Amino acid sequence: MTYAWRRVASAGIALAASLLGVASPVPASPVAAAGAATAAGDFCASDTGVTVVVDMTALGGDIIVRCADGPVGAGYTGLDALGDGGFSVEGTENYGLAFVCRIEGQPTEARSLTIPGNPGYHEECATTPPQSAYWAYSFAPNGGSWTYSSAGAANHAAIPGGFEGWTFSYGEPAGAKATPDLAPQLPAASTSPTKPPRPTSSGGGQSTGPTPPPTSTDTGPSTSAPSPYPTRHPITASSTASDAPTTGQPTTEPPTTAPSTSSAAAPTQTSGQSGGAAGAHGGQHGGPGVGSGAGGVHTRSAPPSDLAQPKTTVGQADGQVQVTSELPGPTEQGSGSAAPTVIGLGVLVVLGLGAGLTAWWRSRRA
Amino acid sequence: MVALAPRVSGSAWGVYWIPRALHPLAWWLWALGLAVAASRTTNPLLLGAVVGVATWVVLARRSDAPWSRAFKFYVAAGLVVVLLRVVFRVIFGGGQGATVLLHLPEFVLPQPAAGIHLFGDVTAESLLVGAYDGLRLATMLICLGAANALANPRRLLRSMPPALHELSTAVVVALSVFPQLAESVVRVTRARRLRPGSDRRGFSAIRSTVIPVLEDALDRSLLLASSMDSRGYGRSGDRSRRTSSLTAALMVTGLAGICVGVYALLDGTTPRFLAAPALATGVVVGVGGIASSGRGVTRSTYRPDRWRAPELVTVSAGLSAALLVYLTSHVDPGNLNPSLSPLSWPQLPALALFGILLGLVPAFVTPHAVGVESQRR
Repeated sequence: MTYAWRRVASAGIALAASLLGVASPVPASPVAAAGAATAAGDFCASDTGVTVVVDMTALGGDIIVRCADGPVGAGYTGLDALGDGGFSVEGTENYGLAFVCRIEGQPTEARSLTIPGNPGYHEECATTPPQSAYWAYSFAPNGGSWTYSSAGAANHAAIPGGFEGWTFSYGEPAGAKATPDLAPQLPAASTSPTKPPRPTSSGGGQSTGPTPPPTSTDTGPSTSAPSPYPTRHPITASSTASDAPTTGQPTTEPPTTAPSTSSAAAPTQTSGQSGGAAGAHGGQHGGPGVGSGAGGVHTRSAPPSDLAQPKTTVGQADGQVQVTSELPGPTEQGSGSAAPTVIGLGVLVVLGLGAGLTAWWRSRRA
Repeated sequence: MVALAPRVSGSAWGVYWIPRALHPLAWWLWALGLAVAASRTTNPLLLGAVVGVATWVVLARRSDAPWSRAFKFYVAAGLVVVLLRVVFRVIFGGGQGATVLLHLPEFVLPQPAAGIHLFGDVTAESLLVGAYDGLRLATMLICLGAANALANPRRLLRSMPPALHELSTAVVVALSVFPQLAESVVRVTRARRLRPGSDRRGFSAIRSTVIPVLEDALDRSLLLASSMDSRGYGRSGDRSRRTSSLTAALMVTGLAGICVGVYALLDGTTPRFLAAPALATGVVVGVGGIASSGRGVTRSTYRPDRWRAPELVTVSAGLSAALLVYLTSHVDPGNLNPSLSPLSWPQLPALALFGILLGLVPAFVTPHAVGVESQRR
C-alpha cells in the first residue's frame, strides 16, 4: 500500500508524450549528448523557467540538465516542464501519463532489469512500473534541497526558477526516495552559453581513449566528440539521435562553441556552467580507461553490464549520433490509419448480425 | 448449419449430430480460452469480437435450462463495468491527454489528500483508457457468463474426479450462485407481474422481489443438498474422525502455504524463503490433503457424460483462440494494446482476430442442446 502510493505519487505525470521518435526539438547539441551533464543552455537563465534534471546514472547514463522555458505560472505542472525541456516522455498503457514509464526512451523494453523477485524484468510500460525500477519525481527551489514529491508530476506545480528532478530509482533499497545526484543550484548569472568552451575529455581524449575515432557518418556542423564512454552515451543521445539520425544534428541549437573540428566540439563545460554538475560528480567518473586530463566530466562510471545497448549500431563508438534504432518498436505506430478500425467494426457488425439471426431463427423454430 | 443435422443415427456422422448437452467441462475450457484471449489485449476491436463470438455461440447452443437465461445479466454486468470505469475517469481523470472533450471545473483536494484532483478537463485519452480497460474486464465477465449459460453446473460438479470433490463442490456452488439468483429474479418478477396489484414501485417492489428470491435460493440449496446427499456427496464414507480432521488440516495448511507463497512471489520485499519454498510446500501439502480426502470416496453417477468429438472441437476452438492471441502478443504487441498517447485508431492484428473467430466454430459444428425447440412454448 505505502509503496504503491509512493509510486503513484512519484510517478504521476501528464503531457502528451511522444514516443521516442517524435521527441520535440531538443536543445542539446550532439556534444551535450555525448556525455556532458550540462549541455548548452541547460540551466535556466531566468526565473520564468524551471530547470529539469534527469538523472539516469542508475541505468548507466548521465545526468541531463535542460531548461523548460515556461513561463512557469499557475497550472504549469512538473509534467509540462518535463515536456518543455525537450524530454520525450512515455506513460503506461493502462494509466497513460499518470505514470512516467520512460524518459528519453529509458529504460528500453529490451533492457533486462533486475528487480526483487524478478531478475529478468523488462519494462513493457503496460502498467505501473515496479517500485524498484521507476522514475522518481522530486523538486527543489534554487539553492535549496531536493524534495521527493508526494504528488504526481501532473499535480505538482513547478517552482519558477527552481528545479524539477527525475531520477531513475534502480538498485536502491526498498522505499528509497531517490533524488538527482546534482545540487539544485543555478550557476551564477554569467552562465550564458557564450563562454569559451572547455574541451571535454572526449575532445582531449580522442587520441588516447580506448575508442576508435569517430566514423565518418557525422556530417553536421558540429561533429561528434568521441568520448571514452562510448556505450553510455547512446542513452542520453537517444532523443537527439532519433530526431536527426543521419545528419548528426544540424538541427536545434548548435553548440555554443563555434563549429569546430571533431575534437573540440564540447561546448558545455564552461566552468561556471557546470559547477553544480561537476561538483556533484567530480570524483566519480572514470570509467575504465578514461583519458585523463579530459575529464569526461559529468558522466559517472557505471558497471559495464549496464552499458549494453543491444540495438545501437555503427556509430556507437562516437558516442552519440547513430543510436536511432535504439528503441525498436513503438515509434512506428504513431497514428495508424482508420481503415483497420473500420474493417474491425465491420467484423463486429457481422458477428452481431449473425448472433441476432441465430436467435431469431431459433425462436421462430420453437 | 442446422440442415447438416440429420435425425438419423447409426452412422458416425449421424451420432455426432444427435442433440445432447455437451460435456460441461468442454464449454468451460472453451470459454476460459476466450477469456484468456481477452485478458491479453485492450484492443476494443478484438474484445468486441470476443463478445460477439461468445454471444453468438450462446444464442446458438444454449438450452432452455434456468441457468441459460442468466447470460443477459452477465452482459449487463459488463456494461456496468465499462460505464463505471469511464465515470471514474471523468471524476478522477485529472485531464491527462491533449484531446479535451469537455471542460469541467476542477477541484483539488487539500494537501492531506495528496493533491487529488476531481473532475477537470475530460479528455478523450482518459475516457478511452477507462473504456478499454473496462471492456477487457467486461469481456472476461461475459466469457464466464457464456460458460455458465452453456454448461450445466451440476453436471460439471458430477464430472469432477472424486479426489477433488471437496474443492469442486465449493467452486461449483460459488460459480452457480449468480446464474441461479438471476433465474430466480426473472421467475419471481414474472410471477409478481401476473398477480393483481403488482404495479407497486420503489421499496415495496424491491421487498416483494427480494424475499421470494432469497426464499427460493434457500429452497433450491436444500434441494441440491438432498440430491447431492443421496448420491454420496458430503458423506465421509468409511473415514474415521481422525482421518477427516487430518484431511482438513492438510487442506487448510496447504492453502495457506499457497497463499503465502504466491504473495511472496509477487511482492519482492517479502523474504525469499517465503516465496518459492512456501509455495512448493503448500502445493505438496495441499495435494496430500486432496489425495487423502479422495480416498475411499465413492459416488454414483446416473448417465455419465461422455467425452466425444464435439467436445474436442469445442475445446480446441477455445484454446486456439487463446493461443493465437498469445502468439500475437509476442509478434505484434503494440496492436494488442493500442496507443492512447498519442491517440490512434486501434489496428486489427489479423492473427489474433482469426484466432478469436475460430472460437465461433462450436456455434456450427456441435450438436444442438437437448430438446430446445421441442420444449418451447
